[in-house]
Amino acid sequence: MPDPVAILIAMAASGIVTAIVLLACSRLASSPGAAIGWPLAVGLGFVTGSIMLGFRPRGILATDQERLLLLVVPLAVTVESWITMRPMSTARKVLVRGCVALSSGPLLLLGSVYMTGGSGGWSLAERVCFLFGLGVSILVPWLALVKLQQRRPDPVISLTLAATSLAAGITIMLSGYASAGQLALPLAATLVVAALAAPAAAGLSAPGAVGVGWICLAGLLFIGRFFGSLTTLHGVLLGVTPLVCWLAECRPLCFWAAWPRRLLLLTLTLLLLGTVVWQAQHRFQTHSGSPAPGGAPAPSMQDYLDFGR
Amino acid sequence: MRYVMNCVTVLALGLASTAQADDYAIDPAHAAFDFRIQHLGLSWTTGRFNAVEGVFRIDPTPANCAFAVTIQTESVDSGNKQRDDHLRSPDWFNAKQHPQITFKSTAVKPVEDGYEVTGDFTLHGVTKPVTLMLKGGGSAEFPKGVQRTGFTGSTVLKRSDFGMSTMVGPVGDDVQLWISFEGIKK
Repeated sequence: MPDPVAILIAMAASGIVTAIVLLACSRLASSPGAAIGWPLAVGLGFVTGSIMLGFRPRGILATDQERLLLLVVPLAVTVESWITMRPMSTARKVLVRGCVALSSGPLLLLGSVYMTGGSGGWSLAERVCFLFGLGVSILVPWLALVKLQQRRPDPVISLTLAATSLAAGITIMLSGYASAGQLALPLAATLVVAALAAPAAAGLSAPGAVGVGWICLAGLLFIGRFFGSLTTLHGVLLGVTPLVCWLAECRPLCFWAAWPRRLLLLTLTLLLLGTVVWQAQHRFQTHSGSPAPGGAPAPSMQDYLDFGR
Repeated sequence: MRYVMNCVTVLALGLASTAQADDYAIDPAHAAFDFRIQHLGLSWTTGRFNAVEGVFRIDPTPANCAFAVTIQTESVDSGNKQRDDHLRSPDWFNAKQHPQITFKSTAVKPVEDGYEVTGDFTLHGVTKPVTLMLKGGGSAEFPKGVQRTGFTGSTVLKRSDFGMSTMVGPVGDDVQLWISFEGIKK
């Protein structure tokens, strides 16, 4: 199903929309509206790419993708814009982001067997535990990435998120949920543009872009795991990979010059992601074939022709 | 729970029936719900659902007959695990969002060797009327003391009518369905 040309066009559209929104908002530098540039650019870029790839709402939040793109992502954009525009205490920021993170799980799983308790679903106790745990697993990296972006503003964080999105897209597609996996590719393009634009658009708030980028990525991993067949191991590995950027705060990396440090972080990220994608590819190939039981060789055409002779 | 509801539905549909009506529960070990769909216009890919359950009532007055079948979407089996994972995803059946495929009859007419059964078919969260020609209705006692009857039917539907439009073109829009089941008399 994934059409490489359509994906490339969607990635280009995402990048262009992101760049246009960033450019437009940077011209409003003196007004409060400029502050929403980063989160809005990433959110709109992601949604634009998704529309280019054929996303069309089927009903009122009837599918997981609709709930991600029309509910969770706008919620994250709103919250990040609000935090950027109105200075508030750290505790309040954690509280606001926590509300979004904790509500993301129930929103994405709305109406599914996980929430209705049908066959293969969760009991009430399991539901509470899993949804709380999932909310925390979205919130902690979110806070960590935003904090790092504030402490050490560096495009490498957005680039790491972009690389992770790319790997997540391939892994989700290999895990049997093609339409969700391909949405991660325009997200990667959006985050690359955000990373490249960061030096030029100084003055706007990049943590907003990182926050929205993370929520988009986490949402895709979430629906890949719960509606597709993404394994928990792959989901967790892809989810923690962007946190590699925190190594920049550790000795001796924190004393290194910017470029060697970035190079090392990106290399580590790509190694981790490469391992996950390779493993997912291996799993895909294993599950695609139908090997004969007991390791017997598969019959050849000649075997069929010789049958009974 | 769903099974009990199906029983209630069938019993409610048959309120007007006489004492001669017979109620049956579908024997899952002898029930099949298969599908065939064209691939690239070259071949047919076949699959089945392994979890089929339901109840039906056979009444001497055909209009009082009723059929209710529930299929667990998660049990789709096309003989290829990777493809089955994809079929369960929201790209196709969306098994976690729509865990069941159901059919509940709304009208039954007698035809030669069986019934023409019209009912509400719910697939992928969309309900549409579908008509099945069910042939059979013979009876057998197997094992001793257990009365059985069985039916076989087929129909063709467009998957895009049910909101399943993924890859229409390379993968056919028309889906051939074939159902066969035995019921054990209660």
